[in-house]
Amino acid sequence: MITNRLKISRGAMYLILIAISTATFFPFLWMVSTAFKPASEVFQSPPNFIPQKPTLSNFIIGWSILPFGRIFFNTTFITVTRTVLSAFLASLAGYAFAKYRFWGHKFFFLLILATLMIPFQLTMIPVFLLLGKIGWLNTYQGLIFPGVAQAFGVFLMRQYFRTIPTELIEVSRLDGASEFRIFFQIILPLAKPALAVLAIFSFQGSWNEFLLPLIVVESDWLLTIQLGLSKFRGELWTDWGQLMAMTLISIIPVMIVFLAFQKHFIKGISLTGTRG
Amino acid sequence: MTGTEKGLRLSFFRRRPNISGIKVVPYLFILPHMLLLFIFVLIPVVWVLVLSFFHWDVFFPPRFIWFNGFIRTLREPLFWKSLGTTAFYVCGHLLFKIPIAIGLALLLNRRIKGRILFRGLIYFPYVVSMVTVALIWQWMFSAEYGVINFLLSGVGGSYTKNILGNPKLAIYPIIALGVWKNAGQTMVIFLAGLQGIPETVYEAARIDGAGPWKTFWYITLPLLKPITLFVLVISTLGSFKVFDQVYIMTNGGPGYATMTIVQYIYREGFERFNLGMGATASCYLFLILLSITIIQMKFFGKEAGYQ
Repeated sequence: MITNRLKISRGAMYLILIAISTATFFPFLWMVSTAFKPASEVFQSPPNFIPQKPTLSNFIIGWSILPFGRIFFNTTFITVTRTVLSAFLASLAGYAFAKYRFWGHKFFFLLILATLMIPFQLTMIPVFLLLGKIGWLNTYQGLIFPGVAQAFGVFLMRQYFRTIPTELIEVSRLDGASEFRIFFQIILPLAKPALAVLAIFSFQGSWNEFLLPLIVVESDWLLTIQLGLSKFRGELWTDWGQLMAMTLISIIPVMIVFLAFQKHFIKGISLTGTRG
Repeated sequence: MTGTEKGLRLSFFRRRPNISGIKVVPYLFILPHMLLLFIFVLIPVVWVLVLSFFHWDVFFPPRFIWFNGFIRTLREPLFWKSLGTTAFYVCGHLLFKIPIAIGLALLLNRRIKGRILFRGLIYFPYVVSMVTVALIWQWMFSAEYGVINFLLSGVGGSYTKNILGNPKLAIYPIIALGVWKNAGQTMVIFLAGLQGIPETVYEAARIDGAGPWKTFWYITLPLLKPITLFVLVISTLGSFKVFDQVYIMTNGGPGYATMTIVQYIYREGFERFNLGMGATASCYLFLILLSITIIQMKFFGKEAGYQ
């Protein structure tokens, strides 16, 4: 009797879960379906769920409408540079806050935490003016550097470095290793798990960034993927088949990173809770 | 005698550079980060404050106008309208997202087969960019060819309803998109919270004869309070900044029906070149975010014993 009821509730739970995750994932399925449809099927009502005559023409034609090769190069370059810089600077600062007692360390740390209260949306007008003043509008630097200093990264690295025993550092000091050597040869290799979490979030944030490119980019050669996708739509008419094909391509790198590092994603959230 | 002297001298020579090094080193370590923080966050914050005391439309030199900018912004109907729309969005977002996320976390906290897969599927929209999913949603809500209208027609909706083009309805898909995209992330935070509740508490409840509903209401929910406060604060801050999905799906329209506060700032600054007014609106937004956070911490923080 009891086992029977349990079975039913377990079955019902699976049904609920399958329904929820299908509904959650449905927009992506719809994107894939549209991307492989010929125009005649894209603009057809009522719509088909599965393309009757699947085609790759959306990918081929869509790719040539905007300089997508360049766009992907730009986005990859910006994302990688920013991720490496961000992770490096955050671990330097995080290490200092975890393992040194220096005059003003509390003040500086609070200052960094306080910037969590100041999203980019608040400062976008002066950042735009500032980039204009130093001639960084419409440049790679202008897309990379404003996003490098992430308070959350410093916080994450500090929490992680605190778990590393201080004796390890002191022993190396007694061996005569310089502070920088200790950091690079002993501490940084130990920080790989935290660095992985940080790098993934930084990758995600940078690849998906929209507002900063929207303000900084003026010419087509500097377009990033999100800005390119938003410009793909016409004033009056949009070829949704081609747009969905390009959207699908833009998701693939994120999807690969997600599948490869799913554990880190989840762990990162429970570590810090924040981000976004 | 000479031996110890030698040893002392050696350690003296060896350690001195280290000690003086240690004093400077931490500053060198935090310097690059602080420098970027200073240039791209702190200077702009001060600048935004200074700018809001000026009238500046790019074409003429800035003019100092005291508090007139702040007063003028308060007299702008569109400023209030966009604030109202944002508040409505935030309320809708929190009202749906948090209960849904708690429900999902409870479902997926059990040891069942495939829960990693289910979690992954539900979490996935959070990983993808807002621009991407907003484009997909816009296409799904297309008036003539959209799949949503097709599905609605199955349950008696009219077939060619232009939901995004309707000033009264356009905000709802935007809210739904925000909930759909972020619920998975919030679920993971609650899952972490649920795993922090010791099994013994549940056992005690079972021995006392509490059913699943009572256990949830009197045990799980109160114990989740601190984490709920945390979610509440970061979700409010996050959803107040709503911009990308509105920019893509409706661009604030039709008319100004879905214009949010960040949209308002963007429009003043980058479309009307009214930099002073944009800065003033930014200051108001900062004040709002700050006071909401403080109120939430004070009000819910006490209840959760979490100060």
